[in-house]
Amino acid sequence: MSAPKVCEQCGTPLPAGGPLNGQCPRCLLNAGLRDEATQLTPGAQLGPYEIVELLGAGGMGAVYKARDTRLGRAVAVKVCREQFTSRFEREARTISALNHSRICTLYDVGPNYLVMELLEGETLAARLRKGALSIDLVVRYGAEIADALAAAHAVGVIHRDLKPGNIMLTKAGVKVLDFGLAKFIRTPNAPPQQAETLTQGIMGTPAYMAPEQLEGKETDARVDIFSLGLVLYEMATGKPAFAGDSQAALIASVMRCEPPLLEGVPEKFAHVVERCLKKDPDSRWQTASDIRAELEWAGSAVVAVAVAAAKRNWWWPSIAAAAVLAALGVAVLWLRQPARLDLSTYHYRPFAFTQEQERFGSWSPDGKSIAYMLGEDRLVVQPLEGGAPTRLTSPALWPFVWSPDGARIYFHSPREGIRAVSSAGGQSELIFQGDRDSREESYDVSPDGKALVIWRVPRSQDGRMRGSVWISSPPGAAVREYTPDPFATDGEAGAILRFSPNGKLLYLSMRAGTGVETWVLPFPPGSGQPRQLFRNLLWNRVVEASWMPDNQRLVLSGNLAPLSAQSLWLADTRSESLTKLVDGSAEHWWPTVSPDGRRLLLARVERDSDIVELPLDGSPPRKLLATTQREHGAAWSPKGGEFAYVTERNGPNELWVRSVSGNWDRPVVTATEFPTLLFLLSPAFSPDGARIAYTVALAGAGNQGGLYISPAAGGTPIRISGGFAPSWSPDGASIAFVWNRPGGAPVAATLRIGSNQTPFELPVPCDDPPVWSPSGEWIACPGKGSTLLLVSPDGKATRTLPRMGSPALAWSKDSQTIYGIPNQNGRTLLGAVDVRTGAFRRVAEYGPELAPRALFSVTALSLSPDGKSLALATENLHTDLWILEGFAK
Amino acid sequence: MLDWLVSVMPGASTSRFHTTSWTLVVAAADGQSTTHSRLALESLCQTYWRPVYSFIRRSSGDKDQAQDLTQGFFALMLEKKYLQDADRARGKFRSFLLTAVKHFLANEFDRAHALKRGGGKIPISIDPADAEGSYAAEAAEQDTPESLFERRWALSILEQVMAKLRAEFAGAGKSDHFDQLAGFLSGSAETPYEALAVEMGISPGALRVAVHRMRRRYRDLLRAEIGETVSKPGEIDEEIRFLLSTLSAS
Repeated sequence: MSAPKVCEQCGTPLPAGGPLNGQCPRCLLNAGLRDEATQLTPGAQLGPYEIVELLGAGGMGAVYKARDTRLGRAVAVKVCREQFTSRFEREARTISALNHSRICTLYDVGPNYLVMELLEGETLAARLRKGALSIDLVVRYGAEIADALAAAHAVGVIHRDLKPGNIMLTKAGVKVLDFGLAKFIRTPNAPPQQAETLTQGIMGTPAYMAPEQLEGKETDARVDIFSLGLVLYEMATGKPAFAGDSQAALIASVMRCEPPLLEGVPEKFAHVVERCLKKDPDSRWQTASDIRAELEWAGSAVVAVAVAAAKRNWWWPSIAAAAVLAALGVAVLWLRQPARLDLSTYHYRPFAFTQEQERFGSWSPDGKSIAYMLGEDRLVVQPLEGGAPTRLTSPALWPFVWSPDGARIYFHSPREGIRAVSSAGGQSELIFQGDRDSREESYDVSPDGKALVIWRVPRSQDGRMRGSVWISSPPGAAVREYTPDPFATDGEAGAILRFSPNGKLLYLSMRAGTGVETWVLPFPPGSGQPRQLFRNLLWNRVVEASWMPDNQRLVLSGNLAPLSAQSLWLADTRSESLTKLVDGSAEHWWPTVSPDGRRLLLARVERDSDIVELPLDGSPPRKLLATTQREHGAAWSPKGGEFAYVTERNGPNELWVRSVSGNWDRPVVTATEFPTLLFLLSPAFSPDGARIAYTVALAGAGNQGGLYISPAAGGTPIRISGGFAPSWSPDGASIAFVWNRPGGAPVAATLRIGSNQTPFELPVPCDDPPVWSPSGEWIACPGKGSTLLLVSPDGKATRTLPRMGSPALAWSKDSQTIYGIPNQNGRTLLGAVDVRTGAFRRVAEYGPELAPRALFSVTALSLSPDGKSLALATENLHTDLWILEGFAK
Repeated sequence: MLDWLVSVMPGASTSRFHTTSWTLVVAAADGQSTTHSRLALESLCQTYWRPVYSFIRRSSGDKDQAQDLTQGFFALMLEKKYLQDADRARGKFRSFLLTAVKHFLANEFDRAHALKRGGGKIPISIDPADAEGSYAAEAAEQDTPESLFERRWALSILEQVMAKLRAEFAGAGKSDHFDQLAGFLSGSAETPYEALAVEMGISPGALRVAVHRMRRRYRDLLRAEIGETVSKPGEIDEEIRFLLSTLSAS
């Protein structure tokens, strides 16, 4: 074998020939990096400063750690691509006079570099990549930033580029960087998709700039107020308030749109942010010190809410309550509705509401029946008033389109084309045969029944795919392409097509190269020009739609970037205005407006995680805790009547303890204890019920994640070890767990609490977390190859029991039986292994709601104190059809 | 599961979840829009099956099994079992796919299922000779499955971008220009400007402009492609630096 060729420039081995034309992949990648004209190597001298290392690179240049050789102190040096002007140097010297504990001090200005206070910590931007901050941190940091702004504004310095990347989180709190520098630094060569880009005379970062700044108008200190609002918003939600896939879209969004509503935050805080974000500077808070005061006030409200939460979990009505209200025909959307959306006329009622999935509803032309998909692929029809669904055919895929006389329903038949079936049932008929090389998945039939329009993606002879609208008229006839077709896309893309009620317009949404687009096409072709709608909106998915009877407005179901819940809007195709119809956490899909325009059929998708109990007598599972929020990690308290669980009610994972009766529900561990928490899982009560051991994962390198113990009544967490999934010894003195052995693979181990010793490694190859028996005799763990391993706590005795194949185990109270939840042919079993004989017994087999895919990703089983059931977490996606009335005024 | 915990425990980071190839994942994971999901997913599979194959091949050591397992993995993705976890994983699409394939290999049931089916419902076509050929050429003795996956990922992205760029030139009827100019992208062109300009019958100035345009277009395509796999544009350079590290000379 000959020696591989290496790149002459960088020494990387070159791939032989292939799609890269023999070019060096490393050099190719390098060519994609931004211009690095500011590269300096350690040891390089810059005036009196000696470069130590690169700290980071941004839009305006690179930042290095350096040493001031005159004073011997460490500093940060920001090197810019361009030489500064003398005016800039003068201004910068003014800025360097700023001396405030929340402002990073500017020490010196060189010909193309700035010398600043060296700060240790991470930028807020880096922190936000891990998610939103807890509300108390948001308030605290917000007040500190406002403090810095107030100090600078007092001496006439405006920041003009306040953003998470310019805010450092240090041990001493917030430090704001780069005051007043945006005005002077431009990088004309930066690529347009960079958020940091500064172009064409606009100074700052568009995603964090005030409208008047973007318009290039005269600006004052109130631009910083707007930016602060954006920073507060992003801290609270983890997402930027405005987004766009191009700079133009982003700017348009800042200029014209309102950010998604802040939810789940104290009212006062939301008010502070909203007023910061007023487009008109005169309507904003006028000074940064006002905001600081407001935030401090909001901060006291945060504490009040936490106290209320600790007293009683009152603000999340349970699913049961919601279902009762729904049954009564009352709008349930009041749950989390924003104040500005008037839902007083809304009236919801469930239409198809079973354990199975119901979706893709479609009204019959007389408005008296609805066709929809039941389960995975069954087309059914159900009368609006009373009556059960009648199964028409399967497999049938969406869209379902009624013929104008209501006699037939068209459906998509996989790998075949478009079929139609009588609305009374019977044999279906192939209407349109799809090509082998094309895809005919989106279509609609004109209201007069004379034309079938199809989104086809045929493959041309050179292998390219091109998506466009084709017409088959009468349905089944040879297709011709809709022209002109400015909406045609390269490559494969899903689409939605919808005829207006008068048949003169065709709504189209599809994924194009640049993102999702929405269009209105005149019909028949040639009767006008296709027109793109909402060019400036960035949708995450193809936008479903249904026309109102006025042939002008559409009800849209879409998901706007940044990723949010699938929601509903009323869109006017002429004025291109968009009004949100609903709000809240439920996802709304596939709206269809009734022929009279008064009712809206839609599918509500709930992603639900619950805690359930599996009775050991084999009877059906019972819900232990079912709310609209995600919850998992149930662990029974040995005292009985209460259990610990992990909830996302406030955003980050929190550990709460709840009484079975639901009378009380209180937090034990929250973001206050772990501000950098990624997630918390596997809680376990100590045998005396006084303490809870659990696992935390924290953000940041060298973090102190691992096993912690907190008093069950709340209090300071104590770290026990690196590792996860604790199981207590019966005497409460030790813990079995999975130890992240430094420098090695994780192993099952035990540790005496508070001993400061190295964990004791158990001599068995565990595949999942170990579980200590109540008798203390054995520690059980799921072994490799689905065996069940028993090991004595001293490691001297081991036994192998027949396969259980369960990701989680639990012991019976008498330590004679081990329970597990093996997966058999896609179903979850409750299995029991007799410890003495090794005999396996099937206790129960569960339905789809407990299918393996519905089990929480980190499954754990907890035996109830009476020994009669096991608690575990499940997660299910559920879709029901609802009818909404009174939505369009 | 243990693998999953280990992978997330030490200093793991979860960046936000926005538009990206992620948009494809979201479309695919919706689980409702069956046909659109399939389109989205097939597009994903076609672009990224090679890194997955390399990972599985290095982990399993058996080439027939690796092909079946790769098919099986994507078949399961098609059934959305893994994709529904996508938003939970968050962050880079590369990391998500790697975690998903690790999950898959760690799950005996899924593995057995995949092998039994032999990739029955075939979302991608793996040419055995092609797959094995590039694996053999790329896998070095010291490679871990992860390092192989990451390097293959970087190469897949570059190949995708080069194919797009080539297609754009071909679309404009300039395939020969692409072949002549491509070497300038990485700076590996052997023919000097002046000589090539003579060969192409244009002025050196015009050639410089053409090369400049091609570089710019290449850079835009590369950044767009990588932008599709990270959660926000600001992470593109970071991702390029990471991919560079997977290709390092040593």
